[in-house]
Amino acid sequence: MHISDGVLTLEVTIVVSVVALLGLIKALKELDNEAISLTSVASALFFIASFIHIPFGVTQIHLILLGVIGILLGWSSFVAIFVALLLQALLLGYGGVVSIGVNLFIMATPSVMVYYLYRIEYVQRLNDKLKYFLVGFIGTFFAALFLSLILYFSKEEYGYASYTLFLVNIVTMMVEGIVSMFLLLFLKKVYPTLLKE
Amino acid sequence: MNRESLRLINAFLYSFVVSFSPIETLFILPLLIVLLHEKEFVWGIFKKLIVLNFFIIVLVVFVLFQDPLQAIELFMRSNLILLFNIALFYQSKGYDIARGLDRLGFAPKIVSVTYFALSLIDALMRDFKETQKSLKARGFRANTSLFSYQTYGNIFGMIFIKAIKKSHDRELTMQARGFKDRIFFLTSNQLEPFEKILLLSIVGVLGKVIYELLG
Repeated sequence: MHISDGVLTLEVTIVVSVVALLGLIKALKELDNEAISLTSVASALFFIASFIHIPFGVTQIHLILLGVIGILLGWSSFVAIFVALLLQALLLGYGGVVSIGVNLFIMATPSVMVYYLYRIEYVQRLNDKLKYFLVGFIGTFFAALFLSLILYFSKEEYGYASYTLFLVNIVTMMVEGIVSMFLLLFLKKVYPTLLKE
Repeated sequence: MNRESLRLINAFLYSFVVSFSPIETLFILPLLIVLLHEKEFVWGIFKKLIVLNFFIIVLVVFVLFQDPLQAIELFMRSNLILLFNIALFYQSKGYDIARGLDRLGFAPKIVSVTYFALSLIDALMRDFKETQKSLKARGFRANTSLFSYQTYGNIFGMIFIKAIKKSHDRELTMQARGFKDRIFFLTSNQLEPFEKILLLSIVGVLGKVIYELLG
Protein backbone atom coordinates (compact mmCIF):
# COMPACT_ATOMS: atom_id res chain seq x y z
CA MET A 1 0.00 0.00 0.00
CA HIS A 2 3.05 2.29 0.24
CA ILE A 3 4.14 4.31 -2.80
CA SER A 4 7.94 4.51 -3.11
CA ASP A 5 9.87 7.67 -3.90
CA GLY A 6 10.57 8.18 -7.59
CA VAL A 7 7.23 6.75 -8.70
CA LEU A 8 4.97 9.82 -8.79
CA THR A 9 5.24 13.11 -10.67
CA LEU A 10 6.12 16.36 -8.89
CA GLU A 11 2.65 17.86 -9.53
CA VAL A 12 0.74 14.92 -8.00
CA THR A 13 3.15 14.71 -5.07
CA ILE A 14 2.79 18.42 -4.24
CA VAL A 15 -1.02 18.58 -4.57
CA VAL A 16 -1.71 15.44 -2.53
CA SER A 17 0.95 16.31 0.07
CA VAL A 18 -0.60 19.76 0.63
CA VAL A 19 -3.99 18.13 1.33
CA ALA A 20 -2.31 15.66 3.72
CA LEU A 21 -0.43 18.51 5.43
CA LEU A 22 -3.73 20.33 6.07
CA GLY A 23 -5.08 17.15 7.67
CA LEU A 24 -1.93 16.85 9.79
CA ILE A 25 -2.18 20.48 10.96
CA LYS A 26 -5.84 20.00 11.95
CA ALA A 27 -4.92 16.78 13.75
CA LEU A 28 -2.09 18.49 15.68
CA LYS A 29 -4.43 21.30 16.76
CA GLU A 30 -6.97 18.78 18.07
CA LEU A 31 -4.45 16.46 19.73
CA ASP A 32 -4.40 17.12 23.47
CA ASN A 33 -1.83 15.88 26.00
CA GLU A 34 -3.99 13.00 27.19
CA ALA A 35 -4.36 11.64 23.65
CA ILE A 36 -0.58 11.59 22.96
CA SER A 37 -0.32 8.25 24.72
CA LEU A 38 -3.07 6.53 22.67
CA THR A 39 -1.75 8.13 19.47
CA SER A 40 1.71 6.66 20.18
CA VAL A 41 0.16 3.23 20.77
CA ALA A 42 -1.70 3.40 17.44
CA SER A 43 1.48 4.55 15.70
CA ALA A 44 3.47 1.63 17.18
CA LEU A 45 0.70 -0.82 16.24
CA PHE A 46 0.62 0.45 12.63
CA PHE A 47 4.42 0.05 12.47
CA ILE A 48 4.39 -3.46 13.96
CA ALA A 49 1.49 -4.62 11.77
CA SER A 50 3.83 -4.38 8.78
CA PHE A 51 5.97 -7.20 10.28
CA ILE A 52 3.09 -9.57 10.91
CA HIS A 53 2.23 -11.66 7.90
CA ILE A 54 -1.20 -13.23 7.75
CA PRO A 55 -1.51 -16.26 5.46
CA PHE A 56 -3.97 -16.19 2.58
CA GLY A 57 -3.74 -19.23 0.31
CA VAL A 58 -0.23 -19.42 -1.09
CA THR A 59 0.51 -15.78 -0.34
CA GLN A 60 0.77 -13.60 2.79
CA ILE A 61 -0.83 -10.30 3.66
CA HIS A 62 0.27 -7.69 6.14
CA LEU A 63 -2.34 -5.63 7.92
CA ILE A 64 -2.57 -1.85 8.12
CA LEU A 65 -5.46 -1.56 10.64
CA LEU A 66 -6.57 1.84 9.31
CA GLY A 67 -10.19 1.37 10.33
CA VAL A 68 -9.31 0.34 13.88
CA ILE A 69 -6.95 3.32 14.24
CA GLY A 70 -9.64 5.58 12.78
CA ILE A 71 -12.41 4.72 15.24
CA LEU A 72 -10.03 5.02 18.19
CA LEU A 73 -8.33 8.28 17.22
CA GLY A 74 -10.42 10.22 14.70
CA TRP A 75 -8.38 13.10 13.28
CA SER A 76 -5.36 12.18 15.43
CA SER A 77 -4.93 9.23 13.03
CA PHE A 78 -3.05 11.71 10.83
CA VAL A 79 -0.39 12.18 13.55
CA ALA A 80 -0.16 8.45 14.40
CA ILE A 81 0.10 7.39 10.76
CA PHE A 82 2.53 10.22 9.86
CA VAL A 83 4.96 9.13 12.59
CA ALA A 84 4.64 5.45 11.66
CA LEU A 85 5.15 6.21 7.95
CA LEU A 86 8.23 8.30 8.70
CA LEU A 87 9.75 5.51 10.80
CA GLN A 88 8.81 2.91 8.19
CA ALA A 89 10.38 5.01 5.41
CA LEU A 90 13.66 5.57 7.25
CA LEU A 91 14.07 2.34 9.23
CA LEU A 92 12.41 -0.22 6.97
CA GLY A 93 12.50 1.39 3.52
CA TYR A 94 8.69 1.25 3.05
CA GLY A 95 7.40 4.22 1.05
CA GLY A 96 9.75 7.18 1.11
CA VAL A 97 10.45 10.59 2.59
CA VAL A 98 9.29 12.58 -0.44
CA SER A 99 6.15 10.50 -0.99
CA ILE A 100 5.30 10.54 2.73
CA GLY A 101 2.59 13.17 2.18
CA VAL A 102 0.96 11.03 -0.51
CA ASN A 103 1.15 7.89 1.63
CA LEU A 104 -0.25 9.85 4.58
CA PHE A 105 -3.22 10.94 2.45
CA ILE A 106 -3.77 7.38 1.18
CA MET A 107 -3.82 5.88 4.69
CA ALA A 108 -4.96 8.59 7.11
CA THR A 109 -7.91 9.92 5.08
CA PRO A 110 -9.68 6.51 5.08
CA SER A 111 -9.10 6.32 8.87
CA VAL A 112 -10.89 9.64 9.38
CA MET A 113 -13.64 8.58 6.95
CA VAL A 114 -14.20 5.38 8.95
CA TYR A 115 -14.30 7.47 12.15
CA TYR A 116 -17.20 9.56 10.79
CA LEU A 117 -19.01 6.61 9.19
CA TYR A 118 -18.75 4.67 12.47
CA ARG A 119 -20.52 7.46 14.34
CA ILE A 120 -23.61 7.41 12.09
CA GLU A 121 -26.60 6.24 14.13
CA TYR A 122 -27.62 3.64 11.54
CA VAL A 123 -24.13 2.08 11.63
CA GLN A 124 -24.19 2.02 15.43
CA ARG A 125 -27.37 -0.07 15.30
CA LEU A 126 -25.74 -2.75 13.12
CA ASN A 127 -24.77 -6.14 14.52
CA ASP A 128 -21.32 -5.89 16.19
CA LYS A 129 -19.70 -8.48 13.93
CA LEU A 130 -20.87 -6.77 10.73
CA LYS A 131 -20.03 -3.29 12.07
CA TYR A 132 -16.48 -4.25 13.05
CA PHE A 133 -15.92 -6.14 9.80
CA LEU A 134 -16.93 -3.00 7.90
CA VAL A 135 -14.49 -0.89 9.99
CA GLY A 136 -11.56 -2.97 8.68
CA PHE A 137 -12.96 -3.50 5.18
CA ILE A 138 -13.91 0.12 4.43
CA GLY A 139 -10.60 1.52 5.75
CA THR A 140 -8.63 -0.70 3.38
CA PHE A 141 -11.14 -0.22 0.54
CA PHE A 142 -10.64 3.56 0.50
CA ALA A 143 -6.86 3.25 0.95
CA ALA A 144 -6.67 0.92 -2.08
CA LEU A 145 -9.01 3.23 -4.02
CA PHE A 146 -6.91 6.34 -3.27
CA LEU A 147 -3.70 4.45 -4.11
CA SER A 148 -5.13 3.40 -7.48
CA LEU A 149 -6.53 6.85 -8.29
CA ILE A 150 -3.25 8.60 -7.44
CA LEU A 151 -1.28 6.17 -9.60
CA TYR A 152 -3.84 6.50 -12.41
CA PHE A 153 -3.66 10.30 -12.47
CA SER A 154 0.12 10.42 -12.00
CA LYS A 155 1.26 8.83 -15.25
CA GLU A 156 -0.55 7.31 -18.23
CA GLU A 157 1.72 4.25 -18.01
CA TYR A 158 0.37 3.37 -14.54
CA GLY A 159 -3.18 2.80 -15.85
CA TYR A 160 -3.14 -1.02 -15.86
CA ALA A 161 -1.07 -1.17 -12.67
CA SER A 162 -3.65 0.98 -10.84
CA TYR A 163 -6.58 -1.33 -11.80
CA THR A 164 -4.58 -4.43 -10.93
CA LEU A 165 -3.42 -3.09 -7.55
CA PHE A 166 -7.02 -2.30 -6.63
CA LEU A 167 -8.21 -5.78 -7.61
CA VAL A 168 -5.34 -7.50 -5.77
CA ASN A 169 -6.18 -5.49 -2.66
CA ILE A 170 -9.74 -6.85 -2.52
CA VAL A 171 -8.27 -9.89 -0.76
CA THR A 172 -6.51 -7.58 1.73
CA MET A 173 -9.82 -5.77 2.37
CA MET A 174 -11.54 -9.07 3.24
CA VAL A 175 -8.74 -10.31 5.53
CA GLU A 176 -8.41 -6.87 7.13
CA GLY A 177 -12.18 -6.84 7.74
CA ILE A 178 -12.15 -10.28 9.40
CA VAL A 179 -9.08 -9.65 11.59
CA SER A 180 -10.37 -6.18 12.58
CA MET A 181 -13.71 -7.76 13.51
CA PHE A 182 -12.03 -10.24 15.88
CA LEU A 183 -9.68 -7.55 17.23
CA LEU A 184 -12.52 -5.15 18.03
CA LEU A 185 -14.71 -7.91 19.51
CA PHE A 186 -11.75 -8.77 21.76
CA LEU A 187 -11.28 -5.12 22.76
CA LYS A 188 -15.01 -4.73 23.44
CA LYS A 189 -14.92 -7.74 25.76
CA VAL A 190 -11.65 -6.95 27.55
CA TYR A 191 -11.43 -3.12 27.41
CA PRO A 192 -14.96 -1.84 26.65
CA THR A 193 -14.28 1.80 27.60
CA LEU A 194 -11.83 2.09 24.71
CA LEU A 195 -14.52 1.90 22.03
CA LYS A 196 -16.43 5.16 22.19
CA GLU A 197 -19.81 4.33 20.73
CA MET B 1 22.23 21.65 13.52
CA ASN B 2 23.24 18.20 14.79
CA ARG B 3 24.17 14.94 13.06
CA GLU B 4 20.63 13.52 13.22
CA SER B 5 18.93 16.56 11.71
CA LEU B 6 21.47 16.80 8.88
CA ARG B 7 20.88 13.10 8.10
CA LEU B 8 17.17 13.80 7.73
CA ILE B 9 17.90 16.79 5.48
CA ASN B 10 20.28 14.68 3.37
CA ALA B 11 17.68 11.91 3.03
CA PHE B 12 14.98 14.37 1.96
CA LEU B 13 17.21 16.35 -0.42
CA TYR B 14 18.61 13.28 -2.17
CA SER B 15 15.17 11.66 -2.48
CA PHE B 16 13.72 14.91 -3.86
CA VAL B 17 16.48 15.49 -6.42
CA VAL B 18 16.46 11.89 -7.70
CA SER B 19 12.64 11.68 -7.73
CA PHE B 20 11.99 14.71 -9.87
CA SER B 21 15.00 15.32 -12.11
CA PRO B 22 16.17 13.61 -15.29
CA ILE B 23 18.38 10.59 -14.44
CA GLU B 24 22.08 11.53 -14.15
CA THR B 25 25.19 9.40 -13.65
CA LEU B 26 26.19 11.87 -10.94
CA PHE B 27 23.34 10.57 -8.71
CA ILE B 28 25.64 7.69 -7.82
CA LEU B 29 28.19 9.98 -6.10
CA PRO B 30 26.25 10.62 -2.82
CA LEU B 31 25.24 6.95 -2.83
CA LEU B 32 28.86 5.82 -3.07
CA ILE B 33 29.79 8.13 -0.18
CA VAL B 34 27.10 6.57 2.06
CA LEU B 35 27.97 3.00 1.01
CA LEU B 36 31.65 3.68 1.69
CA HIS B 37 30.75 4.98 5.14
CA GLU B 38 28.65 1.87 5.83
CA LYS B 39 30.99 -0.57 4.06
CA GLU B 40 30.80 -3.15 6.87
CA PHE B 41 27.06 -3.54 6.33
CA VAL B 42 26.90 -3.48 2.51
CA TRP B 43 25.72 -7.11 2.23
CA GLY B 44 22.86 -6.53 4.68
CA ILE B 45 21.91 -3.28 2.94
CA PHE B 46 21.63 -4.97 -0.47
CA LYS B 47 19.70 -7.88 1.00
CA LYS B 48 17.16 -5.42 2.41
CA LEU B 49 17.00 -3.63 -0.95
CA ILE B 50 16.10 -6.86 -2.79
CA VAL B 51 13.28 -7.64 -0.37
CA LEU B 52 11.85 -4.13 -0.73
CA ASN B 53 11.75 -4.28 -4.52
CA PHE B 54 8.39 -6.11 -4.69
CA PHE B 55 6.11 -3.06 -5.16
CA ILE B 56 8.57 -1.39 -7.54
CA ILE B 57 8.87 -4.51 -9.71
CA VAL B 58 5.06 -4.83 -9.97
CA LEU B 59 4.89 -1.27 -11.31
CA VAL B 60 7.95 -1.71 -13.54
CA VAL B 61 6.46 -4.83 -15.18
CA PHE B 62 3.29 -2.92 -16.07
CA VAL B 63 5.17 0.08 -17.44
CA LEU B 64 7.60 -2.21 -19.32
CA PHE B 65 4.90 -3.26 -21.80
CA GLN B 66 4.04 0.35 -22.64
CA ASP B 67 7.33 2.24 -22.38
CA PRO B 68 10.45 0.11 -21.72
CA LEU B 69 12.72 3.15 -21.35
CA GLN B 70 10.50 4.69 -18.68
CA ALA B 71 10.29 1.33 -16.90
CA ILE B 72 14.09 1.18 -16.64
CA GLU B 73 14.19 4.80 -15.46
CA LEU B 74 11.53 4.09 -12.80
CA PHE B 75 13.46 1.05 -11.60
CA MET B 76 16.74 2.98 -11.40
CA ARG B 77 15.23 6.02 -9.71
CA SER B 78 13.34 4.09 -7.01
CA ASN B 79 16.28 1.83 -6.27
CA LEU B 80 18.79 4.69 -6.01
CA ILE B 81 16.60 6.44 -3.41
CA LEU B 82 15.82 3.23 -1.56
CA LEU B 83 19.46 2.18 -1.41
CA PHE B 84 20.57 5.64 -0.25
CA ASN B 85 18.04 5.81 2.58
CA ILE B 86 18.53 2.19 3.71
CA ALA B 87 22.30 2.75 3.86
CA LEU B 88 22.00 6.13 5.60
CA PHE B 89 19.74 4.79 8.38
CA TYR B 90 20.99 1.18 8.47
CA GLN B 91 22.40 1.50 11.98
CA SER B 92 19.63 3.74 13.28
CA LYS B 93 17.53 2.60 16.23
CA GLY B 94 15.00 5.35 15.57
CA TYR B 95 15.69 7.59 18.57
CA ASP B 96 18.12 9.61 16.47
CA ILE B 97 15.19 10.35 14.14
CA ALA B 98 13.20 11.77 17.08
CA ARG B 99 16.20 13.95 18.05
CA GLY B 100 16.59 15.08 14.43
CA LEU B 101 12.90 16.02 14.17
CA ASP B 102 13.20 17.99 17.41
CA ARG B 103 16.24 19.90 16.18
CA LEU B 104 14.54 20.63 12.83
CA GLY B 105 11.69 22.36 14.67
CA PHE B 106 8.93 19.79 14.10
CA ALA B 107 5.86 20.20 16.33
CA PRO B 108 6.67 18.99 19.88
CA LYS B 109 3.63 16.66 19.75
CA ILE B 110 5.08 14.87 16.69
CA VAL B 111 8.43 14.50 18.44
CA SER B 112 6.73 13.16 21.59
CA VAL B 113 4.58 10.66 19.63
CA THR B 114 7.70 9.53 17.73
CA TYR B 115 9.63 8.99 20.96
CA PHE B 116 6.81 7.14 22.75
CA ALA B 117 6.01 5.04 19.64
CA LEU B 118 9.67 3.99 19.35
CA SER B 119 9.86 2.90 22.97
CA LEU B 120 6.60 0.92 22.52
CA ILE B 121 7.74 -0.73 19.26
CA ASP B 122 10.68 -2.42 21.03
CA ALA B 123 8.52 -3.70 23.88
CA LEU B 124 5.65 -4.83 21.64
CA MET B 125 7.89 -6.69 19.23
CA ARG B 126 9.27 -8.64 22.18
CA ASP B 127 5.71 -9.39 23.36
CA PHE B 128 4.67 -10.50 19.89
CA LYS B 129 7.65 -12.85 19.53
CA GLU B 130 6.88 -14.36 22.94
CA THR B 131 3.24 -14.92 21.92
CA GLN B 132 4.36 -16.49 18.63
CA LYS B 133 6.65 -18.89 20.51
CA SER B 134 3.89 -19.92 22.90
CA LEU B 135 1.48 -20.47 19.99
CA LYS B 136 4.04 -22.69 18.26
CA ALA B 137 4.56 -24.64 21.47
CA ARG B 138 0.81 -25.29 21.55
CA GLY B 139 0.88 -26.59 17.99
CA PHE B 140 -0.77 -23.57 16.31
CA ARG B 141 -0.13 -23.31 12.58
CA ALA B 142 -1.37 -20.24 10.76
CA ASN B 143 -3.39 -21.00 7.63
CA THR B 144 -6.30 -19.59 5.64
CA SER B 145 -9.05 -20.20 8.19
CA LEU B 146 -11.37 -18.20 10.42
CA PHE B 147 -9.65 -19.72 13.45
CA SER B 148 -6.25 -18.36 12.33
CA TYR B 149 -7.72 -14.91 11.69
CA GLN B 150 -9.43 -14.96 15.08
CA THR B 151 -6.09 -15.86 16.69
CA TYR B 152 -4.38 -12.95 14.94
CA GLY B 153 -7.22 -10.60 15.93
CA ASN B 154 -6.87 -11.65 19.57
CA ILE B 155 -3.06 -11.31 19.43
CA PHE B 156 -3.39 -7.78 18.05
CA GLY B 157 -5.99 -7.05 20.74
CA MET B 158 -3.68 -8.30 23.51
CA ILE B 159 -0.70 -6.38 22.12
CA PHE B 160 -2.87 -3.28 21.89
CA ILE B 161 -4.07 -3.49 25.48
CA LYS B 162 -0.55 -4.17 26.78
CA ALA B 163 0.69 -1.17 24.79
CA ILE B 164 -2.02 1.08 26.24
CA LYS B 165 -1.12 0.02 29.77
CA LYS B 166 2.61 0.53 29.16
CA SER B 167 2.00 3.86 27.51
CA HIS B 168 -0.33 4.99 30.31
CA ASP B 169 2.31 4.13 32.93
CA ARG B 170 4.90 6.10 30.98
CA GLU B 171 2.50 9.01 30.64
CA LEU B 172 1.95 9.12 34.42
CA THR B 173 5.72 9.08 34.99
CA MET B 174 6.21 11.87 32.47
CA GLN B 175 3.40 13.94 34.00
CA ALA B 176 5.00 13.55 37.42
CA ARG B 177 8.16 15.01 35.86
CA GLY B 178 6.21 17.97 34.48
CA PHE B 179 5.70 16.75 30.89
CA LYS B 180 3.31 18.95 28.91
CA ASP B 181 3.67 18.03 25.26
CA ARG B 182 7.40 18.37 24.72
CA ILE B 183 10.26 15.98 25.35
CA PHE B 184 13.65 17.56 26.02
CA PHE B 185 16.61 15.58 24.71
CA LEU B 186 19.78 15.64 26.76
CA THR B 187 22.09 14.12 24.18
CA SER B 188 22.89 15.44 20.75
CA ASN B 189 25.59 14.24 18.38
CA GLN B 190 28.02 16.70 16.86
CA LEU B 191 28.25 16.98 13.08
CA GLU B 192 30.82 14.67 11.48
CA PRO B 193 32.76 15.29 8.24
CA PHE B 194 30.73 12.43 6.65
CA GLU B 195 27.42 14.31 6.93
CA LYS B 196 28.98 17.55 5.65
CA ILE B 197 30.64 15.84 2.67
CA LEU B 198 27.38 14.05 1.89
CA LEU B 199 25.41 17.31 1.96
CA LEU B 200 28.01 18.97 -0.28
CA SER B 201 27.79 16.13 -2.80
CA ILE B 202 23.97 16.31 -2.88
CA VAL B 203 24.02 20.10 -3.25
CA GLY B 204 26.57 19.64 -6.04
CA VAL B 205 24.25 17.22 -7.85
CA LEU B 206 21.31 19.60 -7.33
CA GLY B 207 23.40 22.50 -8.70
CA LYS B 208 24.25 20.52 -11.85
CA VAL B 209 20.60 19.55 -12.37
CA ILE B 210 19.45 23.17 -12.01
CA TYR B 211 22.27 24.41 -14.30
CA GLU B 212 21.28 21.92 -17.00
CA LEU B 213 17.58 22.69 -16.66
CA LEU B 214 18.21 26.42 -17.02
CA GLY B 215 20.63 26.32 -19.78
